[in-house]
Amino acid sequence: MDIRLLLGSTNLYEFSYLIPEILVFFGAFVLLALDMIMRSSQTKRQLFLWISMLFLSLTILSFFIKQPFFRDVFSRTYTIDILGTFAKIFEVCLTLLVLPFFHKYMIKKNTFYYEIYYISLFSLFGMMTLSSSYNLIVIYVSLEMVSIGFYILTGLFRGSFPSKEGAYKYLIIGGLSIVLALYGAAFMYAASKSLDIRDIMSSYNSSNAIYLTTGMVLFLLAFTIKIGIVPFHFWLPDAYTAAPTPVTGFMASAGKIAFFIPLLRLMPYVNQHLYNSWMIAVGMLAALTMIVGNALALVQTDLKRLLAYSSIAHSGYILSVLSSNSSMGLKAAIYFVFVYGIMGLGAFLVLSILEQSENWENSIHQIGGLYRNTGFLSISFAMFLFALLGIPPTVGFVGKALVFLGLAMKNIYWLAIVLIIATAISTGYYVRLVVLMFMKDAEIRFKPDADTLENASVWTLAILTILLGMLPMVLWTGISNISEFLFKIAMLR
Amino acid sequence: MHYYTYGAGLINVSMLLPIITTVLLILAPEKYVKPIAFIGSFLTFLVSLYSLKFLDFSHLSDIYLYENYPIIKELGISYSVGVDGLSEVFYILSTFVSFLAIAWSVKDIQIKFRLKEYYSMFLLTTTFLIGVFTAWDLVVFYVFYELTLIPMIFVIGVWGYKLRLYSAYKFFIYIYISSLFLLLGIMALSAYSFKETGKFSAFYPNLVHLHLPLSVQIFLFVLFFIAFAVKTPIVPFHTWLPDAHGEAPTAGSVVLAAILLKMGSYALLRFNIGLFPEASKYLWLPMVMLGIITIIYASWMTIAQNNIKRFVAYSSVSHMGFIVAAMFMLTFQGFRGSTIEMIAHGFSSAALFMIAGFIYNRLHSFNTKTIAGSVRYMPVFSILVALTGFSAMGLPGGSSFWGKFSTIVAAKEHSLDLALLVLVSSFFSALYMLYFLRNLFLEGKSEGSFLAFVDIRGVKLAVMLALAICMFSVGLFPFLYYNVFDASLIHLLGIANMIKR
Repeated sequence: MDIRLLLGSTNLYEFSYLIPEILVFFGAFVLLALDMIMRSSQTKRQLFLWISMLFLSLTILSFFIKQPFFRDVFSRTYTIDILGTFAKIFEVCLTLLVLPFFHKYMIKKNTFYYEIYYISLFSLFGMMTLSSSYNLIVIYVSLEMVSIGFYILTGLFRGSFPSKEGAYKYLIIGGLSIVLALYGAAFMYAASKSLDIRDIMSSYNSSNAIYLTTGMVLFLLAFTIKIGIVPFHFWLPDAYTAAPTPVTGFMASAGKIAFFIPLLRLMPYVNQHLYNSWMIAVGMLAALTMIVGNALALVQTDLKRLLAYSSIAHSGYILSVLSSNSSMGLKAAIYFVFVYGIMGLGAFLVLSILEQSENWENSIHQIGGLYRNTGFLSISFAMFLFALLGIPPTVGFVGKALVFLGLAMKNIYWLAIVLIIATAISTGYYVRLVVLMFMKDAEIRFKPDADTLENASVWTLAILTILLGMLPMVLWTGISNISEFLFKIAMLR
Repeated sequence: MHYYTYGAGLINVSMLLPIITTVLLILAPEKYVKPIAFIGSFLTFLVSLYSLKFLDFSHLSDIYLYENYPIIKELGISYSVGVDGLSEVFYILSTFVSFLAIAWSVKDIQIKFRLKEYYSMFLLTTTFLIGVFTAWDLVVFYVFYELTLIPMIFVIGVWGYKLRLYSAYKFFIYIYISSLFLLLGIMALSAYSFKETGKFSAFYPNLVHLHLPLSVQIFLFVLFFIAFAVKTPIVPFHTWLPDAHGEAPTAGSVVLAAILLKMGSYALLRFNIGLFPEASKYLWLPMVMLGIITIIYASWMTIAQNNIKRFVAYSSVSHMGFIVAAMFMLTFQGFRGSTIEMIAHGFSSAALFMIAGFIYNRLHSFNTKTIAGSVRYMPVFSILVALTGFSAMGLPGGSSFWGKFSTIVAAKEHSLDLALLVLVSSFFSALYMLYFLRNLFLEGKSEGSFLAFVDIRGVKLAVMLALAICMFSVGLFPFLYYNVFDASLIHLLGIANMIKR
């Protein structure tokens, strides 16, 4: 049988655009096969680490093959553009930085399962496809792909009750969000006879407005649940606390980027008919998220939970600028999503190194005098916290400044003021951590044992936090071009 | 406005020098820390003095030593630094006071642990302060403005006195939250620039030419004002200051009071009045009233303190009230009085904090009851205290005189009532200084326990003498300073179309 017949009208050469995705997918299968044939041993652990790192490095190399600026492939079900490529590069790099942590962390916690490597790769594959499609079906399938991986990774401590609880909560609420997405997709399809978001949004007219809006609301709800927007955030702190800390970092950085991309792609298509309701709905959600997330983070005594709530608050910041339906707003949102990946992951990774030492319970008091125990970790942790707070010259500052600019472009000053109040609340807990780390005497004495790779990835993230803040044009040019372009083609329709 | 690139790079050199010194400090063994820090900050001061050579003293409203490197072209953000007359004064003042602070710390017995970190914090502060006073791009200004916070919380929190953690925390929260409003203001201004000219811009000389409607100007004025009012501070926003200044180590308080407060008032003068002249004209009376309330309230609070350091801190607040009130008279004399008062206060508050620190080193107490009369037994020191006290009080010949004088003149240009009000409030500010001197000289035990104290000497004497000379140079030869910044002030008045000489 001719393979061409099987594939229908697909042009085989279009697979060349999918090399990064294929590499990740292949890597995951190699690991899965190896897991079946090899016996558990020290060598196997090392081997799994190196194989997964090898495949991710290959993936990064494959991005150097010239990527098109904007191109639809596979009958417009898949879109290769700079936004997707950027997102994929970030997701792969962040995953690469997390990988070295799995091995030792899980050993220290006396639960080691080889799944962690290939399931995170499968999740990564889902993220990559989620980042580059306008098609509802592809979005739905990749959403499932990411989520199922996350459910399993969350419940990886099979013996502990909180882990099971977190994973179960995540599963139930995540399942609900998937159903909502599907339901919304059905409405949108009914309204426009198309599965492509671009066609759907530009088919807006008075007769199908009600179905389209319902579909959009449901679709938006699904994503807000996945991202963890207040009032749908209840699963997030539990799941983040339950998951092994490197996995939490993976979920909060790469996962967040992936979940935000469809919303970013949707934003330019919100036309003037929908604009007001979109602005108010998204703005209200964002305002609520920022305030509640930060206020709850302020009262946490568990560091991991505190960072989880700060992650919620950051989703709020990003969402707030999505309400400003301008290309500047889109640029700000893209920039902030990417850099949150860097600084959020950094904070979680430092925490996971600390957790590997004896007697560490993630309590906020234990961080007191951390500078006396470990200079490097405390300085990099302070750097990440300052970035999360938005102190210049870190990436967080550039992100926040751009958010203000995006909001000012559309005169949404009320949201900007809410953002200031929310940041004001957040100052309380971030600075408390810094003050505790540097100005108190040590509560417990320990020497954290981080190997070279772990230190290297914390270093990388810390340097990126400063460097991308001081030289924002590195990211800016690409982000700016693609945002302008996305808006232009949205306007043409 | 012209831009002269002759001598460009000098500002960068003076910003890099402290950073290089910091790196050296971290690498060097513990015993070389003090000399390295001392030499590094002295070199920085010399470089900043050397910058005077490149200035044309007949056209000081232009920008000299100008450099411009784009950061984000599309948003009009560029690293642009340069000095005009007004910035030059504060540029030199900040390197000078930082140098004195470091020189003072060399012999300060309070500072005996984590020396490397201590000196690197001060050196970094110097860099950031230079950035604040020389930046012409509002975003770059904001970046440095914010960065000065970070070394300062460590200085307060690590080497401070009893309540240091609380004070550091409070200091950071107040300043950081208020400056977020500034960030929003800058971004909103940039967005308005886009709506008017089609280009984003954060470059001050471009933004000056925008034609913003009054309502927008008032909105942006308020956003900027919140940040600078907390930093300056103006009375309802001042509560962080006594804690931060009271708990910081001596050198920390010196840098805080002498330069960090000036960031707020400098920015009020340059940005609030320069960018939003109509809003300033509209709001001038409330602002002047806020200034006068600050003077009177802070003067009374000063008298009520029983901790000498908090006493000096509140006296700073009262001085800042003069600066704000004079500035918002919006006349040439007002601007002049405001600026000369900033410089005068830079010297006198530094000296007053050093006095407090010196007494603490000898007596281990800040309590006014305990230290009452202590100065009498240290003759050289007592002369310095008296000179500083009278100078800060505003006696003719003292540093604060010309500031107060110009303020009253400027107030008279508006109305006699206002002038009388300023006169009365300056009476209050003289009152607390008299309390201060009476307490140190005339009260307390008359014999015995203080006799064993060693008089001021060595580095500390040199530092205090230098400050005393500077104070009296302001008082006796104010034109030395006027000649440098007058042109910029006239230019500022010209921008605001309100020349009334």
